[in-house]
Amino acid sequence: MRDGVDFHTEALPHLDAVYRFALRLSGSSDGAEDLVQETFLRAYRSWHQYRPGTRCKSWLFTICRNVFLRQAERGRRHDRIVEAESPREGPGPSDANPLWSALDGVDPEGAFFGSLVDESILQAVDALPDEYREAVVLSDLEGLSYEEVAEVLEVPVGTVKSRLYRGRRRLQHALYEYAVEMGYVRRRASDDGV
Amino acid sequence: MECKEALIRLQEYLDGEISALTRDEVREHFEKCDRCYPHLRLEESFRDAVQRVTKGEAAPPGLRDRLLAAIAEEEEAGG
Ligand SMILES: [Zn+2]
Repeated sequence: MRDGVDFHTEALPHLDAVYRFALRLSGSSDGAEDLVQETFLRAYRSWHQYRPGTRCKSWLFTICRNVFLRQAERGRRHDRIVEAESPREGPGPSDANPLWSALDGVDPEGAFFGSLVDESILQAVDALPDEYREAVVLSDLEGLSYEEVAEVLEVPVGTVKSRLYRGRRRLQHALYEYAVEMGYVRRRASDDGV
Repeated sequence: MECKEALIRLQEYLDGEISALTRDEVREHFEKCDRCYPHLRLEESFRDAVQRVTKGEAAPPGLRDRLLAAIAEEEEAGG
């Protein structure tokens, strides 16, 4: 017990969440376990820096990500996005989802994504470039707010919005391509240029 | 609210990052507009699917114990 807030009762309940995040970051269960161990040990050592009232989960994610980035610098998977990134970029005017026109008439109920198998979705998430994957995982999978995601990723909220927007679109596109490949949906004739 | 604005606000709406007032306007638009409604459905089903896949994922059984052991060791070492 330190500073009135107990590490075990405050931090350890987030073990599963940190593990899931580590799994998406590292891409393997072995890597994730190491990452989680290191994250919690560091958290334990710097527990005196934790301010009660801040969200412990976000705090642990921040540590986890820093550990991962440090490891990644030593030559692991961390593929930086080369394209320029503007924090302002997000939904633009007349920006309907291009996927909708592709699925128009094929999927009137919008049930397309629900029909995909879990494994294909996970693979598509894992294939996203790091910057997008982090944002999508923290927001869509772990339910963090824009502000919390911004804190973990150390970027402005506008950047979070744009990464989420682009990351989700990429993910949707990848899943659509996968579904076409598997024959779940038929590519519309207009897409083939026929 | 017009279609264009409703679609632009769709992401923030679904993320719950929108003022209550705007949220109601967006919701009202999607409820009434046949053209925009399918977009809402598509985005919702996308999020449902993505959230579904990781819901059951938990840390492996032994990890918690190994972690506790490592922390206890740290404690003994005078941490
Ligand atoms: Zn509309």
